[in-house]
Amino acid sequence: MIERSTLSATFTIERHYPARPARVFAAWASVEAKARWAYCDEAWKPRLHELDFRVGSRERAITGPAGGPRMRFTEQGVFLDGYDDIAGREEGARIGLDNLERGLRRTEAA
Amino acid sequence: MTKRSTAHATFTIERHFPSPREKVFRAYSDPKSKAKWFVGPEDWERSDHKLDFREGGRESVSGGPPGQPVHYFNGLYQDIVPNERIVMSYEMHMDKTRISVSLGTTEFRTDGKGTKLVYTEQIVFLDGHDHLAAREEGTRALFDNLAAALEREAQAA
Repeated sequence: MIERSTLSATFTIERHYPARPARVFAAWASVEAKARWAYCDEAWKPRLHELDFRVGSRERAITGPAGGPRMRFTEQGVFLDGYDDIAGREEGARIGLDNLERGLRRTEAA
Repeated sequence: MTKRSTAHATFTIERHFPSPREKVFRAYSDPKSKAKWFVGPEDWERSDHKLDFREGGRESVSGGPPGQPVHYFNGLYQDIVPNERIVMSYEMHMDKTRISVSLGTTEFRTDGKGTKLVYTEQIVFLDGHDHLAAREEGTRALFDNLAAALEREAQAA
């Protein structure tokens, strides 16, 4: 029997990007733009990524190994049944935001 | 132009109910039971309550004091463990303005012959509508309603 538990946690990350807010926002608003930065590394390229960027709609990604402005990202989560790897979640979010910065720098330079 | 802002907050409420946790859980899972307590104050005008209690299912209700802005609740069930846990996300509108988005976790634990309920809500309030005290007070009022509904049910049995 599974031992049930929950752990609620919140973390906030603030980053500066050398691009205007509209360009940074656009990196979240389409599946093509988001796919360029939202995965931790090449080995974590998703098998599936769907993004319907409207209020009330959903985003879904299946991923795993071998398979200007200031921007602030706050995640409030509840971790279930002992899967309480807050540090891992936060590290993954930071890696995604690093990828976004590299992508923005490349396109700003081009 | 709307001044955009966000305010994050978390609150937790613990309540003991003398009913066994299967009964308390049923007050959440059964649409007829939930409609009896998941409502605003007596004098509020209200819409029909809709509940599709399964993971991925939705719940909605609206209401408000006569002649005043209508509160709209729209929820989505994320995780359900029968008699143990419910995790849902929901948004609140006042008329056409979205004022908050929340993650609500409800846990049901056996506590003597009754049930200990632990509710944790993680909220982002939008654009200055940061009414944390009112949200917590409103949630406590709902649990008062739930306690009364469970007591009526126990007396009828």
